[in-house]
Amino acid sequence: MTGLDPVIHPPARLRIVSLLAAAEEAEFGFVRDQVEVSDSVLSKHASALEAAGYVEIRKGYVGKRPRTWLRLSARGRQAYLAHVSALQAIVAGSGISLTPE
Amino acid sequence: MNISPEDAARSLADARTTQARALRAEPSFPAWFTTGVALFATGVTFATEPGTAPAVTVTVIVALTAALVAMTLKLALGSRMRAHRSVIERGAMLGYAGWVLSSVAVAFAVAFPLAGAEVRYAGTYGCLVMTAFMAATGPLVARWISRRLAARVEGR
Repeated sequence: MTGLDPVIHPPARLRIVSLLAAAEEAEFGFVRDQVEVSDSVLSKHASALEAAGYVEIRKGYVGKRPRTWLRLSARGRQAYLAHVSALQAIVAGSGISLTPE
Repeated sequence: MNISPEDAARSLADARTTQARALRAEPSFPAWFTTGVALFATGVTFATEPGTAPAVTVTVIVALTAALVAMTLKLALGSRMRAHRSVIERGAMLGYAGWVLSSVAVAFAVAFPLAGAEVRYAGTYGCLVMTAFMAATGPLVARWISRRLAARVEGR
């Protein structure tokens, strides 16, 4: 048992969740551009994360244009932090340095 | 679920990089908002100048308050990304507070000498200069804060 969360673990999902962990809320197009995935891929991951209760989706308008915002739920934030702790524990046990180059 | 330490390190670096890039991509606050707040202060100062008709004062303040509420809603509900409080750091907040105080100091530095010379609307002129100061420097401060937050995330 490593404490890794299988819902968050896939690379694209980890990027989405980590971005949302740094944000109160982020607009769909912004997340898509930063994570460098297509609309459909982000939509699919966002739906999976929403189904797991990790992400909340809000729809609204900017002017007359429809927009979608994503935010990490309290449960999602907790899961992300636990996942990161588990990753750090794995790294710490190996002696690999996490210091940026 | 088991992964190698190398993969774990890569995942952590990837998460950190994504966060830093996202924080750097957007200014920490939109300069239009702080400029708008400064314009609000300018309008209120103008409307409350001694000698202004009460009806004008009330009308202007109501209109300005409505504009301020609209701006705040737009900021709260329409931003592309707002940084989470967990990534906000003290140095950035102190820098922001220092910038706001400097802006107010600019307003006073203009208004007091004008008021001393008995120029009408001295406070309004002071606030106008403050607005210009905030409009000119706000984007730089917002980007500086974004860079600080991103650097902090990268250093975790």
